[in-house]
Amino acid sequence: MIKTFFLGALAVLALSAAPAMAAPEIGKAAPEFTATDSNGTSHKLSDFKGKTVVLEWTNPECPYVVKHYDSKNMQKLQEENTAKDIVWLSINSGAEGKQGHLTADAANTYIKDKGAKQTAYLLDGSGEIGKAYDAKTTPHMFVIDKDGVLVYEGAIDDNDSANPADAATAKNYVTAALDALAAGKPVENSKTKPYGCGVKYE
Amino acid sequence: MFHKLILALGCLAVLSIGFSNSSQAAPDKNVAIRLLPEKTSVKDGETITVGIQQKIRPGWHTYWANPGDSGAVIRVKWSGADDIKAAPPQWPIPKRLPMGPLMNFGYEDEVTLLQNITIPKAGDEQTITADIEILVCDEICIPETHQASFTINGNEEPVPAAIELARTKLPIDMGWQTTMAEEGGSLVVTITTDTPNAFNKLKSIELYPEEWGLISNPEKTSAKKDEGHLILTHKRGERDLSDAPISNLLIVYEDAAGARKAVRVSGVTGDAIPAETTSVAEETGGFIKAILFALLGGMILNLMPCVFPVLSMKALSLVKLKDKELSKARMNGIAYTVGILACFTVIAGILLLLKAGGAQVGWGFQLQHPAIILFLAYLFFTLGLNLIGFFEINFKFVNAGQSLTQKTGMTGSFFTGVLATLVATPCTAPFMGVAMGYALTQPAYISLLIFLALGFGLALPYLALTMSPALRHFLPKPGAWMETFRQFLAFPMFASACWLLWVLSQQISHMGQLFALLGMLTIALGFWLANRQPARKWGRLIVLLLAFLSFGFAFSTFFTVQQDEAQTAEQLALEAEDNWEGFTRAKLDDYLKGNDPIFVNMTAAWCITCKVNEKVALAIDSTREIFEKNNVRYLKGDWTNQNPEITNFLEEYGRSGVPIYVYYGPRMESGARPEPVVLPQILTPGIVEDTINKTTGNQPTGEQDL
Repeated sequence: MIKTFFLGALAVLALSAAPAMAAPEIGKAAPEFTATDSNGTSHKLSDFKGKTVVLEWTNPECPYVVKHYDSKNMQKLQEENTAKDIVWLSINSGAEGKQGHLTADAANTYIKDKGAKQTAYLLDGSGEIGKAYDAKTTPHMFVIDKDGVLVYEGAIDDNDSANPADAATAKNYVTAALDALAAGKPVENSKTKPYGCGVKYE
Repeated sequence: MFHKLILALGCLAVLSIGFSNSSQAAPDKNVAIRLLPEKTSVKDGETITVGIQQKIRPGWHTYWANPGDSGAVIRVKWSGADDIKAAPPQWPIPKRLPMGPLMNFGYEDEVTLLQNITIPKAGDEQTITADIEILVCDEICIPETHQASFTINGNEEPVPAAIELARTKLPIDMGWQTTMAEEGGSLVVTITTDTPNAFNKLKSIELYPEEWGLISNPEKTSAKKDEGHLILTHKRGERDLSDAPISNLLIVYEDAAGARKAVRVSGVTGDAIPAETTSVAEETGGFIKAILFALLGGMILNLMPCVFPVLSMKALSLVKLKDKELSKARMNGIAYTVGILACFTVIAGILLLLKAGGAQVGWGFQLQHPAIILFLAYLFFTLGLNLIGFFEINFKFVNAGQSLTQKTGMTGSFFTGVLATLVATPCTAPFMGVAMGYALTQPAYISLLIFLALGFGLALPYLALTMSPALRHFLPKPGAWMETFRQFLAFPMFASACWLLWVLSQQISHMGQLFALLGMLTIALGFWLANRQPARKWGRLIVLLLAFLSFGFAFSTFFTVQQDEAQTAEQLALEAEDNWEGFTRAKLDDYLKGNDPIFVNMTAAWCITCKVNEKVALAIDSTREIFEKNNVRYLKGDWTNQNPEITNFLEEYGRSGVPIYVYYGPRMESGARPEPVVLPQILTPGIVEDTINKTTGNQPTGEQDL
């Protein structure tokens, strides 16, 4: 008992000393990660230093993801931005057995079917990257600048409906952030409430 | 009678007509939505309340105004008449809905949102339609679109009863003054009210901000309360407070009867300055009261059975000191006081540190650890041996019983103070419960001040004696009686040691108890050996070695005492042959759901006040009879060892130590229970009887229960 007592006291000290596991902060370095894509290629975030990186949390069966793919909104963003040498990483953190989890083959089929144009489709079934970024929903979007600093996180746009027709008329936060970066200006809305389905972690 | 029947039938008819007309549920959807109009005959420009009833498929859920980590808020678009204006919906109390590491806020089974709509041109019969987009999820999410409608100024009957029912599920506004601020990575919400004890009975308090990102949703809210304040702390979320400076908050809680309720506070700003100035004035009142209670409680501690031996030793030293220099006496008095204060600071510091770390501890927690009790038992035994003249103490640090006129007197006084504190803490004197409870809900520096006031109260009688020659002259003259008195004082010491061993026996195994007794034996043997003076050198060496081994054995027993938690729990259950049952939260909740009155008694083996109360007022035939006659469910909690459930219970009633006695009266005819009664810390049979009789008149007979 006395042991637990001292352990408790120690734990208090340890807790006060160690920083809490925190979500990534705007203006700070984005957490490093390594992941394998649908083609078996390994990617490290730091490999893309010097390039702007967009992270898109995705789940092919989530109605809010469907909204942006059926309206071709997401494919259009991917195509436009990868053409500007921006790295676009779609990340699927759905755990095995949960809705939207994809194997590498299934992911490639999905990409082909949808005509998706991301740089790579990362498989994060363990949810490791998702948790490091505190990714909450699909689609939850992150923008990382050329120095590896997180400059935007949140929703894809300002209309949280599930209606595909709304994607075209909404104000797109990711485009706004990328435009600001390109113009060398600060990102105006650097943090918004991500909307959509919860990421299907284990 | 006949009228009532017709009315009831009418109501039924009204309800069924209303439902059949507005029901729009489709069988393949996960939520069925219908509109419940409060009124259907509407004048131009009139505002009516409409209920949006959601019947949700089992296992699925919909969302609150702030859906949490994912999810979406319902969207309602009104049409049918020109320019319908809709106020924001009124949301019933939401639930926490965890999903893996994420947390959502929403509803399961059935919920009715209320919305006020204003119809500028009501005109003749027309259909009011709501186009609704709603997200419904179990693990997966499905957005559904629904259309529901009702007719005004036509044949459709309103359903005011359904609206009334829905209103009872809404959070209420109590006019609580509330501020929020960021402190150390947490959102701290401070709620102030003039109603005394408004927060005392709130349990399982949860914070639900209507704005997103203010709190880290999966974390839990921790609540501290005192008479006028409720302070909620919740880990901050990812959004800057400056980005959401104003939010409505929901404070959801369980009342004393276990019903889930909520208070909504509107427009809470992150700017804490205005309310703080008002609360400081109120706070000082409670603070001064707590300090005075602590002082008084500390003084009374001197008379408690466990402190009395220490006080006796001090009295003994004072008698010898009488003719000595005044300044020396004063210095010793101050050293004694400093010793007490230092010890209080250390114990309070550890307590606050543990508390800050989220541990469930209260005052007296130090006696929940068997090694400390064993140490105190040995200490009392050794001091007793010393007083009776079995051996003379030569250690400089343990000469507490020695004359103060020696050089080491100052150190002795200091450690007597430390000792007094150690043995005083379990005896939560009357008055102290309130002060300690208050202390633990306050910021650390205030808690510390209150603990120090308590310590100063403990030191005060002796300090006064040393400071004032006039007071000291009341003491008897020194003489031969002093040796007799000193020997007599050994017996309170041994008595204390016996008591501590008995406390220990509640905490450890039978083997542990045997080792503790053997430890005492070897301490006595060790001192006896150490005082032998054999003529030969090798003889002295052997004796010293044996003495060392004896003390070594006593010391080793500290490592063999193991807390036997399982056994004590079992003991509680086994001993239930009495008229009481062991306290668990589940059992209390269970009984609260029933109709019988409940008496809760929180006790501990080391709590003398508790034992006395039990002997005098509870475990007596007349009280047993009263309990039996009134079907009182008697729950007894044993706080001898750490027990978070009991610590939580104590905190709900603003206490940090035992005893506490709470009486929950029987369910009244209205179906509610009266407010629970907290009995005084010193019980008499009369107090118990009065408390129970007061509520008996309201007790319904079994036949009236439906």
